[in-house]
Amino acid sequence: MTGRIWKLLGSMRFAIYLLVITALLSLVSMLVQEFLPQGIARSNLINIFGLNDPFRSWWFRSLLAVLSVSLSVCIIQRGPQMIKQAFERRFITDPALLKSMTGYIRFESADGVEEVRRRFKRLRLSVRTDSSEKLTALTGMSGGLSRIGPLLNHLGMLLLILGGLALSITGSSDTVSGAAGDTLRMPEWDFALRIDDFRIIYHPLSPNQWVEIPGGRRGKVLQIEADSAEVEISSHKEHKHSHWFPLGDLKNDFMAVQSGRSTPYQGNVSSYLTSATMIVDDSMFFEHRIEVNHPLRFHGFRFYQSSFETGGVITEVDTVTLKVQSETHGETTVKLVVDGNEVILPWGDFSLSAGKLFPDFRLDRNMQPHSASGQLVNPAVKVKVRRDCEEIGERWVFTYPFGGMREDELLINMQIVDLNVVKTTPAGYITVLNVRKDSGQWLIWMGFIFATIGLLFAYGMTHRRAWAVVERQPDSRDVVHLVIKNPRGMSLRPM
Amino acid sequence: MQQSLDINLFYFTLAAYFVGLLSFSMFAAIQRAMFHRIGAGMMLVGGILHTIAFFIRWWLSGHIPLSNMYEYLSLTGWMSVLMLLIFYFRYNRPIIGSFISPIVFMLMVAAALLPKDINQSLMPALQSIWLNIHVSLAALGAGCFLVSFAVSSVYLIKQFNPHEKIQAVFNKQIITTVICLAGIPFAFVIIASITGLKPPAPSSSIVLGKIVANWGSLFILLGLGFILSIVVLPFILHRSYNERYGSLGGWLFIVITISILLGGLVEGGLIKAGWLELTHNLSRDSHNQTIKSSWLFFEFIGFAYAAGLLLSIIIFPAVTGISRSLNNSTALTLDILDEVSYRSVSLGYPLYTVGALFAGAIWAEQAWGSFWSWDPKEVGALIIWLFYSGYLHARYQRGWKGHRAAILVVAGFLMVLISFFGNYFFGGLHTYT
Repeated sequence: MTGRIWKLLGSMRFAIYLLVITALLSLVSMLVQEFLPQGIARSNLINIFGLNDPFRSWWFRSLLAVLSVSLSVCIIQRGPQMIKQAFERRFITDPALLKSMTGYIRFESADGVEEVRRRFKRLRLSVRTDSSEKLTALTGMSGGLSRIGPLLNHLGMLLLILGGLALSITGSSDTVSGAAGDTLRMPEWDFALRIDDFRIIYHPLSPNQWVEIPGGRRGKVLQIEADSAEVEISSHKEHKHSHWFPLGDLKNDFMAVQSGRSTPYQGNVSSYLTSATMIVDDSMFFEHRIEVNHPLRFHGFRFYQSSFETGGVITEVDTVTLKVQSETHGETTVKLVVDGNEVILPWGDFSLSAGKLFPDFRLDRNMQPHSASGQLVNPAVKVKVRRDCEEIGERWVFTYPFGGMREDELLINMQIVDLNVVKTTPAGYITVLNVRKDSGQWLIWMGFIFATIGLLFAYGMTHRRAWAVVERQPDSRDVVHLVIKNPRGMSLRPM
Repeated sequence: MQQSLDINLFYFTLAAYFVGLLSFSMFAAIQRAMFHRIGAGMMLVGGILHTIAFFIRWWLSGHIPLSNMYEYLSLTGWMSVLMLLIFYFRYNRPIIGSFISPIVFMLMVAAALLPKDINQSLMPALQSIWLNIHVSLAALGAGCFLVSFAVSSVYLIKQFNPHEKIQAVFNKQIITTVICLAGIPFAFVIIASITGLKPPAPSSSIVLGKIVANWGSLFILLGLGFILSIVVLPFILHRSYNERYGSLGGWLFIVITISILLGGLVEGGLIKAGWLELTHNLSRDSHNQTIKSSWLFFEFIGFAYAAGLLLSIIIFPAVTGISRSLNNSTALTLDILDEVSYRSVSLGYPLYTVGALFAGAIWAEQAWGSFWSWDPKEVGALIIWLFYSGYLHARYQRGWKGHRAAILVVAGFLMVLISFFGNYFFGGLHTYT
């Protein structure tokens, strides 16, 4: 039974089915991910099959696991044979065996050995010779490495899957944001990052670019002359018309409203540039410019220019007042100092403490909380709850009821009812950086290297082999028996 | 607004390819060597003009011209022409030009329908050396896949014996193919109309000329049904495989596929001319740009499918005629077609793997911090890669070589198309292209 499973996992037929099934299920998963209506997200069937995120579901991961096992078995089963074929130089000394092979030719020559050598050299084969009294055997080979190409490629693919698994297990992603002058710190960092500046750099005005014309309307630049540009006004598709405007009247850094939010016109942005200084042990370590495609890498952390927010003002809050309500104890209010000490509730055995306050709470695409701006748009504070000096949990608390915390049979609901704003300062743009840390990247890089070399070997080289037996005749003429495998390499076989 | 020099050259290129296509078609019809020589010459001239246009556009834009769909498609076409010329000059197989040139021409017509504005202002994520590596290798790989698709199509057409088709009318395979490709999409529509289910349609009008009709949901359902049918078809064909009529299902698959490709081109032309506007294309943002909707994808496919069904009435006898003449041709054996298809894939596969998958993943890590995000375009590239990996494995497996491997190539190329046009419909990280 084990033998049969082993054979099945390494078989080519199984690999074909596995590849096609993975392709089709990926297609289905992609469509499910794209089209699954949000409203039915709580259905049991969807939860069981993980259809909210099909590529991270148990069945898709199982499929990848089977693919990895199949790759491993294939490498173990075929690897030694491939290596042997790549480097082994085998002599054939029996002319009858050569005769039975395809491509066999026989000819006579005054100096058979030299003639065979010449032919082998013309095909760029490396030649080895084995002589005995009556005959000389020659073997030639080139491109032997193409035999181990598939092996390296499969090994690379296996490393890529394993690397992906390692990254998904060990990877962490966080979002930090700050205006110029802010120093960012995280508990797991042994350094701090000071934001020196954040700027949005725009491309110079060019044709086909959207601009804002006087009056706040938008148009598309058709052509540019020395000091003016022709702009097509796009008020309605059927009523396009163009006008010339002085270049000074055109704004190419306007804010566009998309999905109810104002963002700089994306097509015209050249760069989002954060200048930052890394601070280690309270001294400046180095300065770095973080841009898209140019992340900052330090102590295993990687900082990516993720997005930005329009600043407005930076709000500093010192205390929050919470309304706390439980089914058994009723309702009470409690004032907490932000990032301050814990306060015992009138019920006696419970105490609360407030952690970080985000004035404009949002979740990024990795479900990491951050403050999108310094304004009090959606304030949220992280509240730690203790019972009898033992921590029972943490919860984000908002200005509206949002879930509750259950301890044994007791449901505690919390809501912010008041905030004490101590200072508001105007801010420019706020840069949003994505901070990542993971281990296992080296597996991915090794995978890329192995797989790429494997592909180069497998498809860029042709394994040519040749065998010859030269028989010395009494009349001093040699009879040559010759077989060349793959003489024309990648070309089509002759008709 | 004046057209730039590269676009004028592009139209000259298109004209040269068209003359090349006509000459190769004449060669296929009357087998006179003069025609294939003219065809090859025109393809060579077109290829040279195409290359010049590419470099002029590079010079005008200040970056490698691979930042939009037109530029990508144009480079894919260039690679297909290169493959055609390699097969013509190195392997001396002029007949191969007769079926690669139509596909190249179709691709270039599709490119001609797309916006060709030069984008001098690259967005931040595209300002990377990886743009050159990732997109160029992926486009070159796709060009090779296009050639292998054309060759595998001819393989399936040639393998079909028209004399047996009357006997085969009741063959299980042809019936299952018809049920799959025609039955499932229409079954979707019928079930939906009985149960009252409707895909979400913000507004529901298809403007065709002056006629405004409430057909948006119908085409979405047809598109959904067609996608489902191509997913289940390979399994059903495999189960009902039979040596005698082995290629019938594949042959019919090809007729439908070519019809849908042409249907898509007709649809693109209608949209370009302003005679057709799909339901989900009607909403516009503050820039008066149409807003992409994922449902538009199925609507597009559904319309192409419906147009393709109508076109297949014309294509059916044409393909049968080609099949008959191919069967009489001794210069083109199934082995040669199989070999040419394999050579094309074995050149395209490493290019696509390194370009689309590896370089793309490395670039994604630099730009967004993650090698892989299961973005629709990434998944599309993975599916294409899996299909062609399956094909390369199938080539080493007895019983899979030939007809079944050819079906895998055709299915793989359908995925290339879905992935390419998916940009217009799906969200994700690649929506800027």
